[in-house]
Amino acid sequence: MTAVPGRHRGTAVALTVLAVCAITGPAVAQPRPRPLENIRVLKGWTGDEVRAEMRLINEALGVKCEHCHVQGNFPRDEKRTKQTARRMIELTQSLNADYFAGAAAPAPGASKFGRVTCYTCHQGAITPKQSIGTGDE
Amino acid sequence: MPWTAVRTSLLVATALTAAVPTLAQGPPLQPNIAEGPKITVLTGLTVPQFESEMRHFVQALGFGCGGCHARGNFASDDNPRKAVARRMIDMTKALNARAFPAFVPAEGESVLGRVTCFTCHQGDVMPKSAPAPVP
Repeated sequence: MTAVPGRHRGTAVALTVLAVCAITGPAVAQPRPRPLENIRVLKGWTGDEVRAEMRLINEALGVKCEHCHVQGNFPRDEKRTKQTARRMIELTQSLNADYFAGAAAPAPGASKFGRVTCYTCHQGAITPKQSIGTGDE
Repeated sequence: MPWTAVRTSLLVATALTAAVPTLAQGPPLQPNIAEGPKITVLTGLTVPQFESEMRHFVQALGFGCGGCHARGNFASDDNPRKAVARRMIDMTKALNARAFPAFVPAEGESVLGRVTCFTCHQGDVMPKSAPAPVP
């Protein structure tokens, strides 16, 4: 690499920044969803798949994103409900793998988990029922 | 009376006499455990607990005993739904042991634990994967 004399170093840095901006410019102009961070249990899923599943979770538990996520910073893990959600997702994944491996592949728009989904137990409520007349209704 | 017949009668009489004191002692203090060669997954329950659990199944799935049992012979495995029921009981037990080990059912509740047949079935044979589509 050619050494840049001291007085031209600032110009070189400015030119590099401009070049980088020129390359990444069009991508920045096009609004794209931010890449997902801190994915622990939905590994290997596309961003669209994760977001679609999150909407199904909202519907299954009758909650909004902030039930599990820190508002404004979804990757954060501060909420205990997020830990529970991860545990429950793992449980559902192993349940489907161990007992319903032969079930039909999920239809487009259906939960990617399989035959047993969050809705199967929750049915629109945070606390699933044990028997008739239990759980939050 | 031939000698062999007399000997048989004596043996039967002795056996009956020996059985009488046992019967006279009355029922055992502990409720009987429901057991038998066909009780393979709901093991270790007392007879009342076992029968109560069966009633929970009826309520959870919305059908009668004949849904899983062969008519007139509840021990028979001829109804294929009985095999499915056993697999699902096994699954529910494993699920509760793994995810809800600290949960202790109250008197009269399903002995399976936090997750019961009703949790998913909610009165239907087929549990739901998603809410019914809005018409």
